[in-house]
Amino acid sequence: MRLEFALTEKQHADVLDRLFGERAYRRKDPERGFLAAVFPATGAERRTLLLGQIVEPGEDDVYWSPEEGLVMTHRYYSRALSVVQSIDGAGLINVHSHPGPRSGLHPPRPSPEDLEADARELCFASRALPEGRPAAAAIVTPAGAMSVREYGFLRPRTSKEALSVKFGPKGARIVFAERIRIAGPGLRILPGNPGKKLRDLEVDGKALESSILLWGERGQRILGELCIGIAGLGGVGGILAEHLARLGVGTLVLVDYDRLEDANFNRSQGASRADVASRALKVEVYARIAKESATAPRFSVFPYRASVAEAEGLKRLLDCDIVVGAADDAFARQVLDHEAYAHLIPVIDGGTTLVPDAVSKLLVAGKSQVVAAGPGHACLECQGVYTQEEATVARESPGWGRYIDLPDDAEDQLKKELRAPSVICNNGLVASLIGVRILAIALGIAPRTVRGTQRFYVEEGKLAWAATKICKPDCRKSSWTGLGDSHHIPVGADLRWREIQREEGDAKAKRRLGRGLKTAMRRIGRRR
Amino acid sequence: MSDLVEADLPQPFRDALRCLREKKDAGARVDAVSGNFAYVWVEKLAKNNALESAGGWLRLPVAFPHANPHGLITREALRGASEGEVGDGHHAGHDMCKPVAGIGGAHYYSWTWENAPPPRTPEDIIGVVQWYERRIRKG
Repeated sequence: MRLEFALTEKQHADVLDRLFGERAYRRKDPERGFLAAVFPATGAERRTLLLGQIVEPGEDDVYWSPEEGLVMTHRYYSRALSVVQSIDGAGLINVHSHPGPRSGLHPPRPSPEDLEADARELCFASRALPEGRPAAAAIVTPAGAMSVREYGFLRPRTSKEALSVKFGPKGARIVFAERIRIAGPGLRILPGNPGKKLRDLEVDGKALESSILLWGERGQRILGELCIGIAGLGGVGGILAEHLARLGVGTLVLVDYDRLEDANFNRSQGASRADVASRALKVEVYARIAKESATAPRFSVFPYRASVAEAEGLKRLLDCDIVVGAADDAFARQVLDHEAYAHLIPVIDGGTTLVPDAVSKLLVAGKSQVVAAGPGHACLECQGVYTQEEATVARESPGWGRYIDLPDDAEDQLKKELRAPSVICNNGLVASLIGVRILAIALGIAPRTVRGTQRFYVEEGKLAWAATKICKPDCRKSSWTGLGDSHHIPVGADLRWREIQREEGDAKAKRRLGRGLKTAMRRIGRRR
Repeated sequence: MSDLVEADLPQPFRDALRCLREKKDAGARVDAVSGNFAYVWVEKLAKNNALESAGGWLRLPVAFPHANPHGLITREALRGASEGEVGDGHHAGHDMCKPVAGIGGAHYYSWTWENAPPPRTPEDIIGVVQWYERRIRKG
């Protein structure tokens, strides 16, 4: 499992200010530092350490000594440990500054003294922490570059083991974070391992000439470095898979459980009649389309048949840098809203509501909407994308739109009513607006378009921004920021997905039974 | 059954249950989990002016407090403050009773949390019980 480190833009600015700016203690010392909580955030193939609360050092808690280098006192460690021990799931990180380089974002290399001192101090600290909590060290330069490494120690079970070198600082297993993600409201990805470059990305100058004119090869490499998850491959998600592949995004993770069928063919861009006839899985069809459209030279796409509202589907998205929510389901939206804050993975959600006149069936009202959430943004719930009641109702049963008090014979009619109109042109608009928002977040172009709710009012043909830019006073999402695995994301059972699994399981069992019967009949026939 | 189910429930739900036991009913227990909802028995579910106890299973989402309570199941049909039957959303022998039907669950009240401020913390479970009690009183 690869390791990364993540923090918010606000935390990054705070760290630089503490180590190099106005708030730096002992400014004449060549190096400064502090201790902080750190939280693990675990995906399927990526583990991220997230910066937590900084334990404020006193004036003499951290100092520079010509003989010993940077010293963090035992008193300070002891205070920091008591703070961290009381926070569910938190580990400890030792952060210190290097005086240079003052420009460039190459991760600073720890000196042999740094490695030795950190291993010694963190070995002692990790024994004081409950088992499984992370212990890490980071170095920061004045330019904002960082290198982060996690230390793993064997935990002694006997007094003999406690004295053994293997269980001490020299037995440390050190793993560097490959990348540093700085999230919210934009997203920056920096290299984290001083011994290794980020993927040495080539750029296909011919295929990408028109967009390189806009953001240069540097921008193109940033896109090539990105891993974007798409939750839901309906009308919006499917189009977006191709758009992102053509833009030059390096990796896509696709999560959906549906199959292509006649009823969704009119908005399944790129899918063929043969895909419908074979009832192909949407994730497989769009993985194929994305591969055929990709402009990034080493493009990868990972299709997963799962529900984002369940732990398995969510885990795949926790490997991504940005997640697109295109599942059109309040339960899934709520799950992604939690993930955006707790795991520092920005979410961009989009969808369309079209309302026809009951008699003429002509469109009377509708809106398309694109919203970003995560650190530095208001959450999806506060931006009106879903309500907690809608997320509750979506947990009740497959397709549950009204709660109860329906006559028994109303089911078919209800299903018709629940079937929302959908038009590929509006889906294309939403997919494009999501794509543009991703560019704003990842490349920093058009910074005024990074935050907020963008709406297209169908009846007026007007594109406008909603006023909400911050969460409501009673919203608690910002308090979950960076808690990683320590925050419980309200995943559950996606009952529609369970129903499909049951139906497919039954159909498979029937086919198996049918085959078994045929074979048995043939055998009987032969005996006769 | 209760312990087995509880250990598998998410931490915020278990925190809410602990709070419910500390502040309202020490005997509160999870009797069943079905789909995304748990059936939590509360003996001290005050009827009228808290002198009588109706008792019932609160149908709480496993994702509580990030999802809202939906429905109440009781052994007997509830009677409101005026001693008439509580008719609001009453469904005798409804499918929703099934998970606790074996231990007497027979009447389902399809009460939802619509138009009310959603719970936000595990401690909000106390407000949820008070809400159920108000609905019983209102009849």
